[in-house]
Amino acid sequence: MDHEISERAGVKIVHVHGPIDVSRALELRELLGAQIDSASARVLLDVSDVPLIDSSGIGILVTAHRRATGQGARFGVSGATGTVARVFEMTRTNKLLSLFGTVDEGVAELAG
Amino acid sequence: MRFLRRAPAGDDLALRLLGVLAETSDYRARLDAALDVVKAITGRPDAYLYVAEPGGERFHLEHTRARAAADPTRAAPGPMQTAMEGGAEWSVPTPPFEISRLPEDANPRVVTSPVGQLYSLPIAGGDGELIGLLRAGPVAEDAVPRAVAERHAQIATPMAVVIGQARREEELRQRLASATAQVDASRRLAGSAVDVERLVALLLELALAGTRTEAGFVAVRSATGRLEVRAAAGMPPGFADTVDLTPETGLFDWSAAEGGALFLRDVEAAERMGIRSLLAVPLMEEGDALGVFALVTFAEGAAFDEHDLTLLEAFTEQIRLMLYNAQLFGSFSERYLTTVEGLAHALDARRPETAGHHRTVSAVAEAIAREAGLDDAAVEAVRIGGLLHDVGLAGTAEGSWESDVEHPTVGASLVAHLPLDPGVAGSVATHHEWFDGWGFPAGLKGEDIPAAGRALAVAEFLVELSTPDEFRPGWPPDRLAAELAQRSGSQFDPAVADAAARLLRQDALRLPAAAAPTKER
Repeated sequence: MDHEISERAGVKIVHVHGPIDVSRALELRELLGAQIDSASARVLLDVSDVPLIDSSGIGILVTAHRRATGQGARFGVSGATGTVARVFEMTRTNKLLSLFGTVDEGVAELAG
Repeated sequence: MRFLRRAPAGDDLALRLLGVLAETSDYRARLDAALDVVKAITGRPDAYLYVAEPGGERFHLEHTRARAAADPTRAAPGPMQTAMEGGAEWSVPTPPFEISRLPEDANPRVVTSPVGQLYSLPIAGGDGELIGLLRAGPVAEDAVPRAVAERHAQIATPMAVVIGQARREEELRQRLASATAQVDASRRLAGSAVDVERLVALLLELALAGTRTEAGFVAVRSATGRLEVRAAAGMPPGFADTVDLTPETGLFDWSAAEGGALFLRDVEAAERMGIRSLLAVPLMEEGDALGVFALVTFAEGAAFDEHDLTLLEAFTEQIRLMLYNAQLFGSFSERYLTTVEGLAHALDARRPETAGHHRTVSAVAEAIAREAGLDDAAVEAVRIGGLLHDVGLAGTAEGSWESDVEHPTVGASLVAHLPLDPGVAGSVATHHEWFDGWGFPAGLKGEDIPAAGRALAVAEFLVELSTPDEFRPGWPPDRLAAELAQRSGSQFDPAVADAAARLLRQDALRLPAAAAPTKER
């Protein structure tokens, strides 16, 4: 899966490109799993370059969120707009995940 | 010809045309925009769109983009004068509403119509089939100028795409509106059964067509709380029966406790099915989870877009409303049926000798129906019909002739409008009909009497005669069997009478025990 990882204020920012569907969901699970590796992990997934996410992609995000919460780490998603934001709403997962408008907002919240 | 030189280049017009689909979803606005392009390439003020009827032999006028009727320039070429009481009125000629297809319609040409001479330009679909005609005028020439024909050739393909797509979407909207109207009508007639399965399947089909998605399914929560696939299209064989939709372990993670959030849990299972992309949305009603609506693609590159989400949202809302109404109606029906059964039970309790009569008849009728080979639905209809069959007596004057004759009709009318198998009301209505046509209330004969009614008739006969009353002892099985044989073919369907006789011989009917009369004569 095409992505870059950077770090700011102790928050790992995973910036992914392209649609997240069944064919890429497992890769995303591995990618996020490797980042959420300890209680101190602060991980922000930036989806501003993701044109579409389906139910499998959302499943991976919720799993990552639960895994992080379970071990005392933190996980958030930033940059969901258009189609991606609507999918979160339609599947009612927008209230389940920590969603942020921008990377800056996500970093500020997760680092704090 | 000055106008033509100023006209936008063909490529610009082609782009403008295709942009129309994205700009608006309003059918008329799309056709307006398409006809504006026709006016631009022909330089004429009036444009008309004709579309092919099914079969392609005729075209009808689908849309007009012409000068207003009051426009003085529109009087040409020769307005008609209409005589009106108290004066005269000028009326504007109109193009024909319907035209027959001619072989020359496949090429640009000039035609004569009530609105003068018009260019006639073909719209051909991807397969070369003529899907419509564009007409523009008025024109003075007798042939389409080369410049107009060339511009038309440049926009022909996008025009066919736009008109074709606009028409497909409009047809879809109309089918959806019709399905919605059916749901509304069913809801309003608190009487007729809401055919949920059929409408869910139709809505799924429309959603797939509208989003151009290959596959999808609708799962609905059953009375036991399990999610069950009610409609599926394009899914792998056996999907509906094998997919695990248990909220705790199945394909989806779905918890009403989390506000109804729904997502895929088992990505590997989806991958094994060859699914490329899956979008599932919950159908929620006031925090209550009614079901799941999912669109599925298998092909690479097939992705959902904004337009698909809008359609998906609209269809989800339709299905949600329908399920909610069906659920409301279903629980209403259940309570109503319980009330009617209670009424029948209360009738039985009026006399000691008839106590439990309806329940006994129901059990006996169910056994006979099964022995006679009726299918499961008919057996269930007989069982419920048995529980209610004489309830019409409560609505008629007791002991009167009318009460005897009318009670099957009155009883059937009490349950006829519930979403139950028609065999229920049918069996109640016909349990006093005779196989030879000499029964009542309708005097039906043979196969015209529903199978459930024929089974119920035998059951009631056996229960009545095996129950002792004030003056007569209950009859033992051998006498009942003899009486059945006697009446087989006249009062009773021979096949049902034979089935009942077999059960009597096996002592398999739970009839009231033969006993002495309840009173001495």
